Amino acid sequence: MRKVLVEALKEVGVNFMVSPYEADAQLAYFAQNALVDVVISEDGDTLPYGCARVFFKMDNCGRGEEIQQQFIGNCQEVRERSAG
Amino acid sequence: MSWLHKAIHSSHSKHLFALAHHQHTKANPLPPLHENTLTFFLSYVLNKCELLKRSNVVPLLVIDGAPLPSKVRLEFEFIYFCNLTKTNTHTIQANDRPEEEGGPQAGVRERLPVRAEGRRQRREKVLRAVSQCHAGDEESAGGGAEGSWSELHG
Repeated sequence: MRKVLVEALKEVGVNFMVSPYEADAQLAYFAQNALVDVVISEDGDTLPYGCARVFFKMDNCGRGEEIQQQFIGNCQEVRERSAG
Repeated sequence: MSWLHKAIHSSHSKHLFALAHHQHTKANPLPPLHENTLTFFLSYVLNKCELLKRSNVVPLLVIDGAPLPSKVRLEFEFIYFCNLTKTNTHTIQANDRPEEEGGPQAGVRERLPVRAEGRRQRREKVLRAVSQCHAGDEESAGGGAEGSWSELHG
């Protein structure tokens, strides 16, 4: 699957790289060194690695939720989701 | 879905059909279920990239190279235990608890070969299973990751 994805990205002309291990740590490195403006991800795994700004769950219209690390401390409410 | 995203989808559908045809013509074609999953995943990624490019955002896609070594050992060890004892995960978790905390009876514990083995033998078996799984993963990936990594880093 990874090989097909790489071939497709080359054809479309999208920049890509294969991280040594998990992509989350590599994305955090890019974010901390200001090589990227924002990290788009489906989960919050990049936040503990130190990403300052993460854009979650981007849909087909480009909408999603942005979380900035500097504002996490201002969160006063925790929404609980029932299991199952 | 607006007209813009229909246009994005149709522009990529041509590319995806060409890619699917390319896969069929290969000597070792993918199984049908895998191909469907692949097409869905590809269309998902390419649509997002196209949307970003149309919004004047330059996308940089970072692909997972390999799981962290610490995670690999834990996950494969757990899978190895499941295969070894031929039981479900709940039973394994119950057997891992000590007897004083409501764990298994002694007779049940003796049936599990995990307890009968020494720690060193257990570790060797796990590492052997991990290396076999890694070898299988590299064969299925076809060496695509290594090629792109060497392209990026000379």
